[in-house]
Amino acid sequence: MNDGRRLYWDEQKCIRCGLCVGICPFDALTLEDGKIVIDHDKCTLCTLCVKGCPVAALMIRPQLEEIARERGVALEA
Amino acid sequence: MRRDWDVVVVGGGPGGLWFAKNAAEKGLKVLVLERKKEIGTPVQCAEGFGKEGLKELGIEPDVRWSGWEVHGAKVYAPNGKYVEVKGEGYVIERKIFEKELAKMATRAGATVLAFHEVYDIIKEDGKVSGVKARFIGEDKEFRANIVVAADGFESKIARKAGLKTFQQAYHADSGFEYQMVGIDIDADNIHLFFGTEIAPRGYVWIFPTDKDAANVGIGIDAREEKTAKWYLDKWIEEHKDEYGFEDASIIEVRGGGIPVGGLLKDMVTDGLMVVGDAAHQVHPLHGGGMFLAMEAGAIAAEVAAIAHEKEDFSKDTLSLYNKLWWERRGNQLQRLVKIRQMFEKLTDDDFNFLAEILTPEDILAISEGHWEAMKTIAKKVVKHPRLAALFAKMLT
Ligand SMILES: Cc1cc2nc3c(=O)[nH]c(=O)nc-3n(C[C@H](O)[C@H](O)[C@H](O)COP(=O)(O)OP(=O)(O)OC[C@H]3O[C@@H](n4cnc5c(N)ncnc54)[C@H](O)[C@@H]3O)c2cc1C
Ligand code: SF4
Ligand code: SF4
Repeated sequence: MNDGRRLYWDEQKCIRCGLCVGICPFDALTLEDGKIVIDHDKCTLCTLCVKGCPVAALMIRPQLEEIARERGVALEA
Repeated sequence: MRRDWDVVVVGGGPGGLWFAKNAAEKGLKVLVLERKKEIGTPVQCAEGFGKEGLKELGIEPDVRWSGWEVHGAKVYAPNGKYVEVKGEGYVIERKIFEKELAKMATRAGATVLAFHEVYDIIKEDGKVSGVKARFIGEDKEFRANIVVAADGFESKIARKAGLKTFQQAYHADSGFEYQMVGIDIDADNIHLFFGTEIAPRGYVWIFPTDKDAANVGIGIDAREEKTAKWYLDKWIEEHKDEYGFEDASIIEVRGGGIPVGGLLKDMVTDGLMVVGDAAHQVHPLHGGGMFLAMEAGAIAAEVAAIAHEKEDFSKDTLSLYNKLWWERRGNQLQRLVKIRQMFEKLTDDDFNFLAEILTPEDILAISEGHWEAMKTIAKKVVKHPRLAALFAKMLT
């Protein structure tokens, strides 16, 4: 899915509980070697994992370009 | 066809390990593959285990894991009024308990391998016939007549086999917990705090692990905008004087999903059975699932032995597990789902009212899903129109 937004995983916040993996209806998430791997092609941005995560380690954010534009910084090539 | 293993179990939690012990005792060659580097660690649990449950499973409490003994539960309404329910249990050391289960399984003849992450199933002629796993950069295949998916809330294995075990968000709770030390609690009881502001659809718990220590946690509807951590931190802040939370130590941080409903009618396919959290076999009201996963593991082991005897691992034969589990436990849990659905509509006023009129026996009956008792309780709330309507709706 590509509408300029993407699911982001915050490695620092994550407690590796696996809730998001279990709740995703589209099988877009896996826990591999202690990391949450997001399959962006499968993710529909439905927000179920975002809400379910007990520590807010998942969030939907504009893609990098948008963030860069918001902050008025140029992205390096 | 004879395989390397009679059964390969994915997941070395209570469900998978208890399956392995029981199936090995029946003479089956069983292998358990567990992703974690260490069986039992990290813990994602409040560690409450009733004495009756242990007895039913035939497990003698052992000081190495029995942890802290409690003698009852105090159930609190939002206004602080509580009902005290007697009941013997332990807040166990789950890390050690699971390792003991692994030892029991091994002594019965099973093999348990830690740090083996199963990433796919093997299918032949449409039947599940083994799994693929990774172990320190090495890819391995394990063939078996039956695969048992005991892979917990995340449960990918059954889905890969084509079963619709996906957890509906509506039936999922989000859990978060601190193990705290240096707090001021009544350590003879576990404590459960209800309220819509405290924990939407769930509750805050204090499960003592020592005279001055406890697992302090929360479970809430996973669809809530705010996180479980947010609600727990807020509650702890509001109760810091009462329980001495300020300056207490946090020696462990835990969390996880709890499948409090969405029971599966069908937990088998050709060559595969699903056990425990992966099959959403959790108590829909309080979220306890260790006993239920183990009980289901034992039932699945019985069925695996029958299939082995008949040399028939088809869905038809394995379906006996569906039948036996639903008779033994499923129907009761389904009633508890209905009770939970009524409970999630309660307001704080309703909770406060119930705390005034419910006896400890009533609360026990509710937690056991006793339908006759629910009818009696419904009579007690007739003067409260809202509750009367909710009870009437539930009982139809
Ligand atoms: C916060 C919280 C508090 C709880 N409190 C209690 C309580 O007080 N009492 C109680 O009885 N229950 C409690 N529960 C519920 C209880 O923890 C579960 O119901 C129970 O663990 C279910 O056992 P299981 O064997 O089905 O699954 P699990 O214990 O989850 O075991 C599944 C195992 O499979 C492994 N696994 C997953 N995928 C793979 C893979 N691909 N390859 C290899 N291995 C894999 C996992 O690492 C895990 O070890 C609580 C749950 C939570 C989240
Ligand atoms: S946002 Fe929805 S689809 Fe995307 S990973 Fe999360 S649960 Fe899955
Ligand atoms: S639900 Fe949150 S904390 Fe748990 S594994 Fe997923 S991202 Fe990490």
